Order: sequence, then C-alpha cells, then structure tokens
Amino acid sequence: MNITTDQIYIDKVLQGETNAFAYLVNKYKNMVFTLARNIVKNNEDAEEIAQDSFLKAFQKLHTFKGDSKFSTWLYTIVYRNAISLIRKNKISTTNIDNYVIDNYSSGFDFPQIEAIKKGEQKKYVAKAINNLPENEAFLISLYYLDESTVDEIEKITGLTKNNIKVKLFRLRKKLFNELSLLLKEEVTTIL
Amino acid sequence: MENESKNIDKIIKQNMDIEKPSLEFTEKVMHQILASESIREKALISLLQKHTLKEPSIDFTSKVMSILPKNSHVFVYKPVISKNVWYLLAVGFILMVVYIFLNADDIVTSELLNSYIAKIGTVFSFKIPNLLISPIFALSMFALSSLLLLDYFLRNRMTKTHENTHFL
Repeated sequence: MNITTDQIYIDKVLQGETNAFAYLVNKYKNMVFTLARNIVKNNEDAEEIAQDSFLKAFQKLHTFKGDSKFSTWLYTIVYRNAISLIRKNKISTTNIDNYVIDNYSSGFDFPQIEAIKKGEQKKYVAKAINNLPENEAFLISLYYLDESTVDEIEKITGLTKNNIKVKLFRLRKKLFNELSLLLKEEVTTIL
Repeated sequence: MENESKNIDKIIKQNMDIEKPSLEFTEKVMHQILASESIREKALISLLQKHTLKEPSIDFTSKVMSILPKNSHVFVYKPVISKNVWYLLAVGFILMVVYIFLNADDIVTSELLNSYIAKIGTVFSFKIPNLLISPIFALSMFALSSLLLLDYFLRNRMTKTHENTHFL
C-alpha cells in the first residue's frame, strides 16, 4: 500500500510536479532525522544531513527503480551522508570504551522505577540510545523503529546478514540490561 | 557395621528411580521461555517506538522544498542514441560481416572503388617507428595497462571495504 502511494508521488515528481515531493518529505522526515541524529549525535548536523539527503534523493529520483522500498533507498543516502560528514568533520562520538565505562562503572546512576515519572522515561530511553556507538544506534532505529528487515538493513549499510544478526542480538542484550526497569513496567502494561 | 551401611546404600540405590516429568515437559519449558522472550521483545519495541523517534524543526519540510530546484523537471539522462538503435546497428554490422564472409568470392568491386580505397590507403599510411613494434614496448604497454586496471579495481574495493569496516 505504502509502496504504491510512494510510487504515485515519485512518478508525479518525475513528471515535473516538484511540489509532490513534499508528501515524501513529510512522510519520512522524522525517521530520516532520527537516523541521522543517531549517527552524528547532535540536532544541528542531523538536520543538515536530513535536508541534504532529501535534496540528493530529489536529484537522483530517476535512478530509483522501485526494486526496493523507497524508504530503504532513502535511508541508504542518509547513512552515506552521515558517515561522510563524520569522516569530514571528525565529529566526536561515543566509542565502545567510553560506552563500557559509562554504563558498567559504579557511577552509572539509573533511578529506581518509582522515581521515573512518565515524562522522564523518554529521557532515559534516549540516553540509552545515545550511549550506543553511532552505527549501532542506527541499526537499532532501522530494526525497531522502521521495522526494516535484515535484508533491507543489508542493502542500506552494506553489512552481511550474519553480521547484522549478531549485532542485533548483542544490542538487544545491552538494551535489556540497561532498560530493565523500564521494560518491567512496559511488560506489565502490555499484559 | 561398615558392611551394614553398604548394604543399606545398595538397597536404597536399587529402589530409587529417577522421577520423570510429563512427556511434554521440555515443550512447556521452551514455550514459556519463548513467550517471555517475545514479551520482552514487544516491550522493547514499544518502549523504543514511544520514546526514540525524533522530530526535526517545525519548518523542515518548507526548508527542504525551498532548496529544491524550482519549476524544473528532475533531470533524466537520455542518451542521444538509444539502446535499441545500438542493438540494431550491432545486428546490422554482424549480418554484414557474415554476408561478406560467406560471399567473399562473389563480391566484385568496381575499378572506381578500388582506386578510392588505394587513395585512402596512401593518405593513412605512415611509417611506424621500430621502437613501437618492439616486444619490450608491447610488454611495457601491457604492464602499464594492467597496473592501471589493478589500481582502478583496488580503489573501488578499498572504498567499499572502508565504508563497511566503519561498522565493525
């Protein structure tokens, strides 16, 4: 359904109806921004990458053949843009060593479940994601937020399927540990 | 005394049986494990979907639309000679070669044509320096071409690997 709708708007843009592109921008802007944000770890650069990615997608739209989802194709552009910006600007990101120190040292102060108000949950989930190395946060967003398949993640990142599966398994364990208190509460609301 | 206790041990061992759970015990345990994993996974998805999707600035769409080239069609590359024409030309050329090959003896060239071909031959004839036809030159050219090709492939490969290893 979505693919068909996307294709209708893509065809309109290719026929010269530039304004039809706004539909695609509105539909994917949050996910594009989130993916970029997970890699570069700051809002300003993420917004710049998101804008540039949409511009590139518009310019290269004629090369989109429709053999994958438009979102998969778009996220590939976002990933490449974000990675190249990191390399160019050498944006400081959390590396694995820092991640381990931050999260497994005694200084990590995760509050008791009673102390976490509804509004604060977002802060702690965001912190857990932000603490992940950039590429792993990107994988998590693709898999859990966009619900991309392993095949689609393979197309976007160029990683092998096995590598993706291993990484997702490890990341799942990390997040289960880190968000255990919040997850317990979430489980009770689900049941 | 010692013998007595050994006998007691023996009697106990003989009369003891390992208790067996129901036939579907393993299935039940595995079902419980998978169910609890599935609930945890659902909880994680729900938590992440509720709290991690970020939004760009309010005027993001208008900003993007303002930087797009206005009133212009998206550039679609169209070659001057289409693929089909190239195929036709190739088929025509192959047919011509096959025809000439099969009917080489029957083709009669005119005197005029022969003289034109001779003239063209004299215009394009030039003496090739001995150096250019030496085996060393040919080998050098071959080595140089191989190096250029190798460089091209290695560069491509390294770029791809570099992009992938950033993840590892």
